[in-house]
Amino acid sequence: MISVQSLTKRYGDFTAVDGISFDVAPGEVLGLVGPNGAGKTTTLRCLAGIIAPSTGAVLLGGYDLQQSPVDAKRTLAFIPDEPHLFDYLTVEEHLRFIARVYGVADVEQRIGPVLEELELADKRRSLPDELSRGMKQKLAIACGLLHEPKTLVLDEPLTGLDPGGMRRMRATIAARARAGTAVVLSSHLLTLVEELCTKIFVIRRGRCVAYGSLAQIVESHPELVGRSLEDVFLALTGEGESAP
Amino acid sequence: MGALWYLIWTQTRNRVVRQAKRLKQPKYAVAFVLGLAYFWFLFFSPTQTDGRAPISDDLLMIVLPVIFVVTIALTWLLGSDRSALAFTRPEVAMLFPAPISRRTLVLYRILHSQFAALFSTIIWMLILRKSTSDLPAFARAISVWLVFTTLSMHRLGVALSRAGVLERRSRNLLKFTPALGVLLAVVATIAHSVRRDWTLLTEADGLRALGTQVLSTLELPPAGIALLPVRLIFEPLVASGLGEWALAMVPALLILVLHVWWVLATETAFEEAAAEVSEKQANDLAEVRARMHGVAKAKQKDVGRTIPLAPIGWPGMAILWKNAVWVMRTNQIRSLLLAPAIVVFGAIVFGDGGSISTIIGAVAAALGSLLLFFGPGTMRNDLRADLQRLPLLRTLPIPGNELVAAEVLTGTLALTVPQFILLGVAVWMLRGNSIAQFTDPMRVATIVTLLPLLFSLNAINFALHNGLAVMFPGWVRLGEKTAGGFEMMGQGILTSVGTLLALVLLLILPSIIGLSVGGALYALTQSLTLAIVAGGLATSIGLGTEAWLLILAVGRSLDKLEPLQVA
Repeated sequence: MISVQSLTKRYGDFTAVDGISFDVAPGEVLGLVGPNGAGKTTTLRCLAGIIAPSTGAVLLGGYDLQQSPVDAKRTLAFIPDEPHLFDYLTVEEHLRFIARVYGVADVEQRIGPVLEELELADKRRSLPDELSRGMKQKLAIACGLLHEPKTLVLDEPLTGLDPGGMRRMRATIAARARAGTAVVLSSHLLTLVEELCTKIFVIRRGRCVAYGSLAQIVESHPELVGRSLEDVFLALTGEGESAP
Repeated sequence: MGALWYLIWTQTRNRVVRQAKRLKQPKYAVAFVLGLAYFWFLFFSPTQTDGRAPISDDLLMIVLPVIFVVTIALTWLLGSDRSALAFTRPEVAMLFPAPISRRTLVLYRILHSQFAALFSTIIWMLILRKSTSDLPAFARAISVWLVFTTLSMHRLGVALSRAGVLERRSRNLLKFTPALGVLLAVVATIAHSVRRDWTLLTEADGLRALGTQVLSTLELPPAGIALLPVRLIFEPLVASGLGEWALAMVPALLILVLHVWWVLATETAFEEAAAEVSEKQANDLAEVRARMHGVAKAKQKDVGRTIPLAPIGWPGMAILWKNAVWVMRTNQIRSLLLAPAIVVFGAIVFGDGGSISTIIGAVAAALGSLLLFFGPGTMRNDLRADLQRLPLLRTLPIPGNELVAAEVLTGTLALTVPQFILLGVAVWMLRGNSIAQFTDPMRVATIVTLLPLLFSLNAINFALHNGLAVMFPGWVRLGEKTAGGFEMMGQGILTSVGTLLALVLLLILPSIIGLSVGGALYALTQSLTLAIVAGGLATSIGLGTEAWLLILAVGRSLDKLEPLQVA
């Protein structure tokens, strides 16, 4: 369960995120969409505990991220668009590191399947320097999934992946949701959002402009009935106004 | 070249503006004022300038060339010069594919290094302002700049030579032959001089006499002739009067010009080689160049060496383990254990007393002390490197204080062992000299007490360095390596001052506690051995407590630190 309550993040006089709220129940996938600079990454970083909200609260798996950060983070996997890896640990050692941090007792049984799933089995003794961009992203995903998180936050999860990797990643996210994980993902790929997300949160200039299932959003905007998600997105964010 | 000038200028301007904006934050403003006050006290305060002995030019002409030669030798032998070629990742991404010749890129690198050289010149001018020289300030400044620039050119030349061989994937060392030949000839002549004066060196009575003899050996031919170019670089610095200075500048500038020619000539050969490679190799070349940013990466063969990690237990152990693997794979462990191994070998072979035994003890004491005070500043397998991955750290379910404790523990453990060996050997080998009144039991007591004392001292020192990085990420250079090279010492001095000052302040209370406990026990038992052990342990406990409190405070700051403050 992910619960965001009146989340606001300010940098000096600039308000990056302005009082947004949403809930993601186990098994739900929420797509966070919005134009560049809308506040998506800031929101995700607040959800992951990377930055602290100025006001408001974030609850992960029932734990308040500000009050009980360690318990809350134990339920979470955050997969950023730019993987952060340790230069001197091999692929397998990254997983062992994560296993110790999250207390994954049966790491020996999990490493093989995770590496197989993400096609990293033959790279288990490689250092990050020897991996391609896509493989680094897969390693970051493997690290995120190893401890079977209850809440999953993904920032542009398909960045750097090849078509096969993208398909498998979509399947992985769907499978995790079916297994009861609450998922929040941010992406500019609206087809991904349409395919995977049970709810959509449209953010513009730090504020919520639409929230709910695609059907609910369209229902509240009769003029958008019958339009594609791209048209809906452009209309809601005002992006389409200046289009030729 | 115009675009590169623009890049240098705008980057420098923006960096200065950004640093100035940081002063709006109270903690940076307070630290800035304290830093200014400290430097005023150090360099301009009447109490400091009146009573202090001036720095002798003779001393300068002995110490600086020795440091210079050692730096050059290490550059050649250990290959620790890749930072001289350090283009940043954006520079690699934008400049290397651009229609800019490699020669222009090297010129850009030279110009870029000038900012560091000029900054270091200012710092060294402050340090040398109490020297015995009667040269005008401008002449001394030019002389100092010349030394730094020549050294910088030399490092760049070595880096390009090595890169040229590396990028041709050639094992042919012919390219190195002329320069390597010169280096070997210098080493051979010094070895010959040392061998000739070996009896005088070994029979020298005391450290002062030994030092005088070493200098005499290095000044007389053939070592004196071999080291002449180095002396010529330093001659302007110690010239008396402008006329002598101008004359001394001629050969010094000639050496600099020769270095510039060498750098550009090496670069030309490198460019020719680059033109011959295929597109794939050109991509590899970019990769190699990208890797030149920072320290040498772990090689594939190194990944065989690892340390087991149990999946269950204190999560902070994962951080400690990760850092330990890093220490192992970057050969830091070899560097840390080399000197203790040599010293222990020397102690076993020459352990029967005499001047060689004293020399070994003195060397061990010097190396141990250097490692004690400067080790934590240079060994950066902790938050100083990991802050670059702050977003990842912040998502881990590890409280800030435990994370800091794990980071501090890595360096503490890695440094305590070699320090203990070096200083333990020193205590044992120097029995015939300055601490002659010590009995063997007292000596053993001192050595035993050293272990917890060094551990707690390292812990507090690493906690300070990590704390400085967390508190002032905009001022502390984050990354695996400190800024490289002799010419970058100015920046190093600036960043070290705060840490050393805080360390001295933190030492006061535990020292008082240790002395009190030791003194009280001596008064009760009249046993100096017991007093040493009790005093040492009490000091260790005091230091350890301070280190833990500091770790808690740094942990709290880390929990509040945001990636934007680090960027």
